Amino acid sequence: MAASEYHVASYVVSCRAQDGTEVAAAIEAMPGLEVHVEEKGKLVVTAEADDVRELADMTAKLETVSAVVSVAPVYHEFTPEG
Amino acid sequence: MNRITRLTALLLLPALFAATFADEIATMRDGVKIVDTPKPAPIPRVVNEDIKTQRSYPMQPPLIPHDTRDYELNLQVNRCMSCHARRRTEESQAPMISVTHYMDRDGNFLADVSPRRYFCDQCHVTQTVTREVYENEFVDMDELLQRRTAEETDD
Amino acid sequence: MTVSRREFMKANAIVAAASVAGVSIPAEASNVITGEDLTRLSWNKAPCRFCGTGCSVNVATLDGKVVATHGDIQSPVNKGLNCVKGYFLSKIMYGKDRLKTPLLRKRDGKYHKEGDFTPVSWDEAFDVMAEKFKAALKTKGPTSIGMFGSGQWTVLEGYAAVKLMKAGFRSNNLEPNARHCMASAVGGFMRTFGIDEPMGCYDDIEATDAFVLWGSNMAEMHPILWTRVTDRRLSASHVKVAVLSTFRHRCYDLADMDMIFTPQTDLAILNFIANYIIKTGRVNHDFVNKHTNFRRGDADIGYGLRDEHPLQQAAANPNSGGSKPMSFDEFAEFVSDYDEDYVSNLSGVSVDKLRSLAELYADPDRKVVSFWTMGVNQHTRGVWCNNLIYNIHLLTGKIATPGNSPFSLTGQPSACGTAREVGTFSHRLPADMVVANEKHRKIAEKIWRLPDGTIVGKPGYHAVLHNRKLKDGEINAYWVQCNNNMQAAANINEEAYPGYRNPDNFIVVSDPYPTVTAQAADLVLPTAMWVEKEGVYGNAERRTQSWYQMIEPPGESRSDVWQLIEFSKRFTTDEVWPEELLAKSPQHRGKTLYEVLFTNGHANRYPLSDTSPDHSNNESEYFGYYVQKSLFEEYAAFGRGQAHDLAPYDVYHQTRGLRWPVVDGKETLWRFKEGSDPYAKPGSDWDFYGKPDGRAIIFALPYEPAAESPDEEYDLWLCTGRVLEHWHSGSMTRRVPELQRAVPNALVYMHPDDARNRGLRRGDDVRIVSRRGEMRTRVETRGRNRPPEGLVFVPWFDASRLINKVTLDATDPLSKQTDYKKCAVKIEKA
Repeated sequence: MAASEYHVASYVVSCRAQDGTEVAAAIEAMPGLEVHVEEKGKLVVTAEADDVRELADMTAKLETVSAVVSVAPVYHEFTPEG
Repeated sequence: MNRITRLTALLLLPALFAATFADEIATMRDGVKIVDTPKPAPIPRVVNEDIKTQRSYPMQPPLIPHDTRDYELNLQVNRCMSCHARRRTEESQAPMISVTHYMDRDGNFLADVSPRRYFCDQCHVTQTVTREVYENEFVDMDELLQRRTAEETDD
Repeated sequence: MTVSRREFMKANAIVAAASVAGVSIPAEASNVITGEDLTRLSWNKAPCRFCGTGCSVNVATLDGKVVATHGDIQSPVNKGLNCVKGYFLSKIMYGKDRLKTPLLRKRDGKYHKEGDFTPVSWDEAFDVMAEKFKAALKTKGPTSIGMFGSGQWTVLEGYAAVKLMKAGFRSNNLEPNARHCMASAVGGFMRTFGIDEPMGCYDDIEATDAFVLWGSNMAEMHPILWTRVTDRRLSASHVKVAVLSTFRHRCYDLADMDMIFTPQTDLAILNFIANYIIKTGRVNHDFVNKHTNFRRGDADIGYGLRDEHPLQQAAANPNSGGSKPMSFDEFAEFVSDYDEDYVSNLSGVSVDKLRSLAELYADPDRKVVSFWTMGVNQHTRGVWCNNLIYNIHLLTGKIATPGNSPFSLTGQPSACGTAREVGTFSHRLPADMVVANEKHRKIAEKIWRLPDGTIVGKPGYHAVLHNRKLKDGEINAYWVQCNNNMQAAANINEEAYPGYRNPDNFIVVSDPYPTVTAQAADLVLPTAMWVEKEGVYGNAERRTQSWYQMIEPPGESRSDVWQLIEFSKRFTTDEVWPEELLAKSPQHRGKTLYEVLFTNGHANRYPLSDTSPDHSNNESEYFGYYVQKSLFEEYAAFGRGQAHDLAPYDVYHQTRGLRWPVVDGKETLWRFKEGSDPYAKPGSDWDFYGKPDGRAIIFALPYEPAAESPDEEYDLWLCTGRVLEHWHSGSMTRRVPELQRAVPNALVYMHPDDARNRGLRRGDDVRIVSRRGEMRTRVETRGRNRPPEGLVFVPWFDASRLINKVTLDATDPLSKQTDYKKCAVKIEKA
């Protein structure tokens, strides 16, 4: 069994200004994803996962959220944890 | 690095003793007197190994790990983008320019690289294999955090 | 509670994305650690430590160390960008050979001029220093001491130095290294407008239709401004970029019009453009009639060399800045000599290119920004060159409106804010006032609560004279702060070095690092740098910016301002003021200069409790009052109401800087223009209020040759300057491994044919020789700089390759600024 890891990534998600609240709520409802800022159609979102495959899944799901125009990954870091 | 270590050790000694020979103080002249003219080191070659080096902190612009001799970067031609533009990266396998380069002055995302980022060489530089490097005691934030975690687990 | 690794990584992720998105960083990310005072990762703003562009950065500290910086998204100057030097700011304080104790040359336990550097306490350092300064003052008086300061001093440091020297020691021998960089620009402003500093601002870049670079290499020297120029040029196809220099450099990569001219002929080209504007009927007569006067300037004014020099003996009007009124027609006749054939022959620029360049100025529908720095200022006719650039903007009325801007770019981060505005010059007082003017002296004495006659009316020695007077033994006690003049001043062998090592002289150098200047000193004082102290800088567009102390300086190093104020405690008025002065104000008798200048109830009126609760402030804690705010507010009194208004000190900590004059909380973008500048009188439209009649001056000034041109033996022009990766003398940037590895040494850039004709190849070890000295380096024929045949370029950042042994200390006779761009050399294999 592989040692567990901790992955965190952040994204800038864009949508139309008027859809901001709705998009934020939709993302918040998804496990592992958190919205930290929502301002005029720009959202700062983090994703946390135990391995890179899970992280990739979460990224893919993010793009399918209704009313999302674009998802720009910005940061990704991980650490092996004991 | 010997002379730097020696000089630093001397400078750190308490005021009781240890004078530094006057010209030794000039680290970057290797102790050569001002009136003398040192022999110049040969022009070192540019590092061309294509190996990415760790950045000192996340926002540091990555160094260029390859030679850029004769790469044209002007009004007519941007040689860097011939490998690093998004649409070229699959073929070139070069790292894509960061998403930050697609934003204009006011933070709006653009379809292509922002003109304010056009001259890559204002932020990205190559490295040479020179041995004339002066020690720097900058500490990576990761190391500081590890030190702190180590201190806590010692408690 | 401590932060976990996870929380820290997550916080980094949030901050990075927020930066990219251009939204404010949420509290949870910026307060990564709660409840722990000194060990949080906190972000604080500061201006960049380097050039006059004045970008703002955010600095991250952790456990008392700077760990990262990034371009401040909120600053209108750079909007999140930095240049490569700015991106490595977090490393400049950590060179391993950082000075940590004072060092005094000693032999057998006592000070000795030829002794070895021995660590001493601050007490002992100041003991010896005070003894030497007092001895000089006693035997030869205030003209025998001197101070050489900096355009990289904070505003507070410059101001404390002005008070200590001019009011305390009553010596006007205070000069900044800005004399080497901006003096000609200042001379140009004062002559044309009667008041210093640009009238436009960086907003002109986004508004203009044309850029003309007069010898300035913005791509490397003002990189962020260059990104704004690039942005404008590539976003609007009608915009044109014209680049003029004596050699091809990186700016030519963006040029629509590229011109290489023979050194010094910029004067002729400028007169040609004036001629062209007149001949093609594009003078804005309305503007010229209402807002300008014409004057014919004295010519044949010498070269600022020692009086015995043949060139000085031959000059008809040595050092004269005089002028006589003339009519527009007389001016038109004067410039008519500068026709296209004459100027093309003289300068080497083709007639076609000259016409296209002139057309940019002449076309009334095209807004134009002219940029210049050292090519124009470090010039034996630098003041004239500044005047001539203003001429063509004034003839066409293209001035002080968005996009129409003769923009004199400042080199250093606070040559504007500190050196020029605070007046750290041998002839100046704050707010553009001068020691020679009795009214000005009285204003200063009143603000400083000093008796009439404290300030001496006779200007002191300027920068180049400092070295000459040290050599001649007329200055005997000398303090150098925040610069590397042994490396920076021209003609090291004949003047600078013998001056410092003259056994009659005691030289003190304050610096964070052991520089070449420290090597030549007798006492070296370890100095705090950048965010190790609270400070204020002012950039090229008149933007004053402040920052808090963020980390502790290492070892026993202390800031320049601490050193100046602490040193003042060693002197009493009885020791340094004459009896006549003491008799006028007996209440000053027996008081230390510290009491009189820095704690007189007015100069220290802001209490410690005003300092920021979230930041250290070593100087204020030590002296017991808010040093920076008190000095700043006293200094600001000079300029408020005099068109130099600064906002209240605390406001600067909350903003990304403000452009003065700041009146009723509003900054001024374009000066002299009604509607934008509160000082422009209503109904004036343009009001050049620096002049009594509100009119700027158009000067008739000729082309005159350089001080030393190539000849049979010394057959090449030498031009010196900088490179992108290194700041000035490299004392900071060469200690950053990434920057040092990028450009490790100063090379001589030369044309491949020039090399071949001398039997040289790229990489050869060569001597660059002038009549004054030599330097050894390696040949570069395919570097970033491509000189034409007949000229070579050498940067001055390398302590082991001192090009200033080769250069000539000829100056502009009016500005006293050294011409670093022109002298004659030969190159031979070593």
